[in-house]
Amino acid sequence: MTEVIITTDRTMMTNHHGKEFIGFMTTAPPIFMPEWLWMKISAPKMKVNEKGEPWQAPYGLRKIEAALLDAGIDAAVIDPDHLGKHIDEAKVIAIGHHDYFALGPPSSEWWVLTGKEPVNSKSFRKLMERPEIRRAKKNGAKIIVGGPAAWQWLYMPELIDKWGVDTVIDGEGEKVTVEIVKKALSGEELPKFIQVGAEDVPSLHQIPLIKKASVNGLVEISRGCPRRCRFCSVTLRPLRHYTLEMIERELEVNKRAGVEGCILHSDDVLLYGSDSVYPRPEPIIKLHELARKYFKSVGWSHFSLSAVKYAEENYKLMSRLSEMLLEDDDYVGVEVGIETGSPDLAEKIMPAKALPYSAREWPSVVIDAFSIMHELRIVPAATLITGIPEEKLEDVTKSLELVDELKPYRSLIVPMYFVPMGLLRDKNWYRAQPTQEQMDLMKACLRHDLFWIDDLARWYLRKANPLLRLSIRIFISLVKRAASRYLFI
Amino acid sequence: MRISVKADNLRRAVEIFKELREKYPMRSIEVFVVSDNDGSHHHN
Repeated sequence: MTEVIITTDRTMMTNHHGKEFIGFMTTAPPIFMPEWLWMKISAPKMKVNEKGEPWQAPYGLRKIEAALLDAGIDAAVIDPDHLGKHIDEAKVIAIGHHDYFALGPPSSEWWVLTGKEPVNSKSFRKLMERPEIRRAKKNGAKIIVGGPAAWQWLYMPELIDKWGVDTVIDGEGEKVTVEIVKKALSGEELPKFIQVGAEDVPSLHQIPLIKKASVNGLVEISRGCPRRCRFCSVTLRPLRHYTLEMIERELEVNKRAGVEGCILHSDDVLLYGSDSVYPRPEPIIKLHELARKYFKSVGWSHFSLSAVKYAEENYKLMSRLSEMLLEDDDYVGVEVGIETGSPDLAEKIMPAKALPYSAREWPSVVIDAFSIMHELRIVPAATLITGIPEEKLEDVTKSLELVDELKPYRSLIVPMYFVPMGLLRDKNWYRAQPTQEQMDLMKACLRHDLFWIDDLARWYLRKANPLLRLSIRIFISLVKRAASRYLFI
Repeated sequence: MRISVKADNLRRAVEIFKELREKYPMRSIEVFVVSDNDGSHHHN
């Protein structure tokens, strides 16, 4: 019996065949194939134990599980196909997601471009309408939702009503979730909405350490970011770096469970151990030595491009990391944010992103960082924002120019089309039309990606199972064929 | 200290929560829906 079930839908409760980047497919509707095949490729089911606990689970859910277990509460992450085993005893169902209703980029962008609902929101709706969840609700269980997409519930009050959501928690949830779950278990009145402010954010030593394996071995190394970009909520959080001992304990958990690699997660891995925007080589090298002690395959979540340039030009740090992690013909991927090619827009919306360089130098910082990574076989998967309210036509033109200049560098560039928040109140929000210039920018990104896709797919899929490799190769050739007409290439 | 507010229905709670988030992005905020109260705000 488990009193508190922590769960989510299939697009989240999966390890994407061990290929984190394939997870992006769950933010789109199926293209050139039926939905069942799209789901099989992007969100395969994971093996579970006799209780229905998946062998890997999203890191955020593992943190909530750890916080509840540390508080002496009987909680477990349960796979959505195995809820029935616990549902009659469950008193609380805690649910997390990174894009409940496909309102965030890139899901919203695929929805606008294709007019079709992405699989992540469809899959989440199926979860909430499962007979097991409805039965639990009828039995009096409380439903608590949270995670990075918690804000989306504010645009869906009719679904809060329909599905009987009791509390929405927005922000770092480890401390507040324990408080709310305790209230739910003792029958106290629950708030409908909570924003986790500075007073409720866990300090470094209040952050619980995961007790069971995370998806693809992801472990957090830092939380928060000092750059304060206007479009990003992470900057509202205080910067905290895990100690090496904390990181080692989480690496051990994943290693014991049989996970084959690790992903070091932070909003900027290169700022690990730094209290400013200047990377410090010593803590970063120690961190990577530690990770390599446990895993041959070590990956990263995010770098800032200014840190890449600074770290290489001042300490040859990127070269050292590449030597530590890569064998002869290997690549390693990382997410980075270009966001704009316009110095004017950079000054307005992300004045500190280029630091220690000036925001006016931003396009050249991006090019230098891409050049460094290309030489070292580090592959950036970059985001580029369009559609934010401050953007002018000239800004989009500058971004287009930058994308052209990045062509020689092995990379993927993913445009992020922002749907204005005001439009989300309208249920037909996805009919928002990008301008011609914004469409041109998205096409330029697609053209760049198609230029590099064969090289990248050869590397990325070399150890994938043959069926997955074949499916994705067929998909890529269909996209290329369709794009050749659309992009005139 | 957490800002605590009561609203008399869900839609009003959403509005109040959005307003407070905008005004106090760094503060903890909780909004209750209390169907039998008078809908007034109570800040602790």
